[in-house]
This record gives sequence, C-alpha cells and structure tokens, in this order.
Amino acid sequence: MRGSAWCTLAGVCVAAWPVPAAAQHGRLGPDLVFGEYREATSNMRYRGAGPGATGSFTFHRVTVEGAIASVQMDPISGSQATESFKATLIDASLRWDVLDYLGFEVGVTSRETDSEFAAQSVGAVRVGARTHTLLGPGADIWLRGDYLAGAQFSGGGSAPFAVELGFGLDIRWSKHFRAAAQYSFQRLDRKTNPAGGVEVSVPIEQSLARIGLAVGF
Amino acid sequence: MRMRWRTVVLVSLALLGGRAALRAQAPQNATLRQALQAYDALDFARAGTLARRALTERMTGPDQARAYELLGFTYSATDSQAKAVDAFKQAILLDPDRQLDATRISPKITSLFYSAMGQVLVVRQVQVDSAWFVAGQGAVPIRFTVTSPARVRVHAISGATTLLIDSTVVTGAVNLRWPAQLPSGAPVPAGAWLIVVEAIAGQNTFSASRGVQISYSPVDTLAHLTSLPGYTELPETEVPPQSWRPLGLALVFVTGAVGGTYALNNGDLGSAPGGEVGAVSLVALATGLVMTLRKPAPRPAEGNILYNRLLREQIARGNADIAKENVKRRQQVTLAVVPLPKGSGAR
Repeated sequence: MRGSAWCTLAGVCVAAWPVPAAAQHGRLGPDLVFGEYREATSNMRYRGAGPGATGSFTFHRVTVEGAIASVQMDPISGSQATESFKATLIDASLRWDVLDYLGFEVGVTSRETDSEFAAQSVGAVRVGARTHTLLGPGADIWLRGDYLAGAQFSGGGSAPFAVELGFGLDIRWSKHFRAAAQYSFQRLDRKTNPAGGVEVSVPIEQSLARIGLAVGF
Repeated sequence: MRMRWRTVVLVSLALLGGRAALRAQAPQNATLRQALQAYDALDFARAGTLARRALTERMTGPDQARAYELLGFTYSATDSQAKAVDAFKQAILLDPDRQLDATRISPKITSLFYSAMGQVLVVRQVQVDSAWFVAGQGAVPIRFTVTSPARVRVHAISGATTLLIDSTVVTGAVNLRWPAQLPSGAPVPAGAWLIVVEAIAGQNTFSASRGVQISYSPVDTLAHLTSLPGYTELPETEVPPQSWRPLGLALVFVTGAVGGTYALNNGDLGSAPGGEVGAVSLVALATGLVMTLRKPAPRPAEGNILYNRLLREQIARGNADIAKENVKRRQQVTLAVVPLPKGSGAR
C-alpha cells in the first residue's frame, strides 16, 4: 500500500512538472579554491587555498550539485593561531526550480579537518532557496541563502543559528566548455558548555571562493 | 420646271449610288456587262432591256442576282416601283446576304430594296463568332436575320449527329448561344460542324448554314502560390536594443552578496572577510559589463513568427484550393470554335 502511494506521488510529480523541456545536462570540472576561516575570536584566523572540483546534473527542473575541495589553511600573520590544518570540504544539494528564477534546495555540508586542535570539523543539513537570472547569452548569475540545520561539531556543542550565503556566476563559453565563479560565506554561532559548565559562545565563520572550469554535456 | 430639275437631281443621285454598287465586281456574262455599261451611261431603257435579255441566257447565280438587282435599279430610276420591288425580291432570293450600302445608294432605292426584303422569307447573314471556352462554361454566339415572321429551327450537324440548338417563331435579328454540348452534357465531338438555320412560314421555307470547326485543347491549370501578393514574410528574429540591464543585474546580485556578508558577519570575529566576495564580485561585474557592451543576441520575434505562420497557412490553404481546382480542370477540355469560310461545311 505504501509502495503504491509513493508510485502515485512520483507519477503526479512527474506529470506536474511545468516545463517538459528537453533539458538534461550536466557539468564537471576542477576549481581553484581559496578562503578564510575564523573561529572563536578575531585573533584565530586562517587563510588558505587548494584544489577542488564541482559537478552538477540537471534533469528537467531538478538539479543535483556536488562540490569537494581540499584547502590547506595557514594562520594569518598577526593571528594567535599557531597550527596549520587541512580542511576537506564536501557539499551536496538537490534543487528543484519551482519557477524560472527561483528554486528550493536541500543538502548537506561537511568540513573535516586533519587537526582537531586547530579547527572544528562540522557537518550540517542545508535547507534554502536560490534565485538566478540570465545576465546575457550563456551567463547565469545566482544568489542563495541556506539555513544549516542540525550542525554537528567535532568538539561538541550546537549552533542554533547557522546560515550560509552563496553567490556565483556560471558562464557557458561554448557547448561543452564552461567557467564558474562561486562565493560562499558560512556563519555558525556555535555554543558549547565544556565540562557541563557555563555555555560558551564559540562562533565560526568561513569565507570561500571557487574559480573553476568545467566540461558541459 | 422646278419639279423637273428636282427629279433629274434625285435620279442622278440615285444612279450615282446604284452605279457605284454595280461597279463592284465585273460579271462573267457579256450581256450583263453591256447592261451595266448602259446603266453607267444613264441609258436606263437599254440597260433594262439588256438585263432582261441576260436573264434569259445561261448565267452563274451571282450574275443572275446582279442582273435582277440591275433591273431593280433601272425600274427605280424609271419610277416603276412595283417592278423594282419584284426584281429586288428575285435578287434577294438568289443571294440572301446581298445588301446595299446605305451610305452610297439613294434612300429611294434602299427603301425599295428593304420593301422587297420584307416580302420574302430568307435567312440572312448567318454568323458564327469564334469562341474559346471551357466546355460547360461558355457558348458559341450565333447571329442571323430572318426577313419575315417564321418558325426558325437551328441545328448543329456533324456526320450522323444532329443537335437541335433552338426552335422559335421570330423575325428580324436573332442572337443565340450554343453551349456546344450533347444532351448528356458532354462536349460535342471535335471536328467540322454545320450550323443550319431553317425558317418555315406556311408553304415557304428557307435555310442557310455556316460551317464551324471545333477543336479540343486541355484546360490550363493554375500555378501554385509561393507568396501572397502584397504580403511578405517578416524576419523571425530581432536584435533587441542594447541596454545596461546585464551590468545592473550583476550590480544587484553583487550588492546582495556583499551586503549579506557584512550583515551576517559576527562582530566577535572581527570585520567581514572581503577578499573572496571581492574576487567573485569582480568577475560578476566584469561579465555584466561585457554582456552590456556586446551586441545583443537576436531573439525570436513572436509577433512576426505568428504573422509568418498565418501567412504560410493562407498560402497552404490557397494551394490546397488550387490543387482541388486543378484536379477538376484536368478533367475538362477547352473548346475552340472557328467559323469556316462560306461554302464549306460538315463532312
């Protein structure tokens, strides 16, 4: 009974897609990633760069996106931080474009660090919306905002307020050659109470830019 | 005295006209030629005598008609009107198509001639006009004159085929239209046809005929339309005017990103980071500027596309009608009707 209900729901969703467009396309390519990471206070600041990759696949109005990056973060001069760390960033989302200019997305975000003492590893579910418009032939600009729900930190604690702002540009140079520039800013107002004591605010911010090329199909 | 001069003048005028008519063609009979010469010399008594003598001799039909006409002229000149009318009647019976040139013959002679014509039953001037028409959609004009009231039957004859064209009681000029169709509605067979006009009034009958040649040719088909006169297709794409919209949009999104970053920044962690958003914003603004400066790409002109679609539909509809009409035309024939010279007729 449950199976047939899901089949019916899937059928309704497929039939209700507003645009039965031809559209089935994707892209995959490498990125140059650079960014800044801050934690706890203004004196704990890191900056770094590294390689990454981005891919997406669109079928009608549904898009699956994924991005990965490995960024070597080093303390900024003048920062009280002393130890470098390598962050592995993984992002994945599923977006449904309900209108030509607006879509809703759900996904996950994860940052793993190789040094638990230098920075927090974090994972969260992202829920948000994305708007985009054409700047001109082949150039699409977008802006998105996500709430990072259920954030989990390697050092414990929670972040009732955790958001991410995204901004980017996709350029289609030719049928199979693309370029992209993306920016994301994460703010996680982490709170923790070490040893069951008083709750301490340990905010985290990450600012990341990706400049990449991609092959489209 | 005045009366005599008037008579001389009238007779002279009448004779001048009569002589002009008689000079038209030299007759074969010698006596008739002498009679004509005597008439030219105003010797009416001798002209009448010679004309009567010529009529007792062996003569061709046209010469006989001419001899009677000369007699009619001489009797008119000598005021023998009854005899003149009788002579003209004989001339008309021998040559029904004979007519006087009213501009050259005196009214006195002309009136006597027409008086004679009204007293005999003949069918004159049977004319069949050339015609070219699609079978069933036209007709052959036929004209003739019946001099007295009579039952007139007009037939078309070719070989063993006889078609009644018309049967009516008429007098005077008659105009008929023959559709050149068999009773079944099919066009008459191609070939030589004889249009026979037969007039019957009591015991008097008269018939005249005219030959026509009928030939077939296929009906021209219509050419298909490639365009409608006065209407041309419009370009289906148009280049939009250049605008600052791309740069403006880029600026709006950049403002949103930068503003959002600063708004979301936690002050406890210091000022908002600017390098990353600055780099991507720069790329976005540069792209917006390029898109603003480059020539806009042509975009579909919906109005023109609809107009062209309507135009093509009209042409297609017209061509469908033409195709239907051509199918009909290929089953039709065009009849060409050409009158044959007098004397020839159906085989």
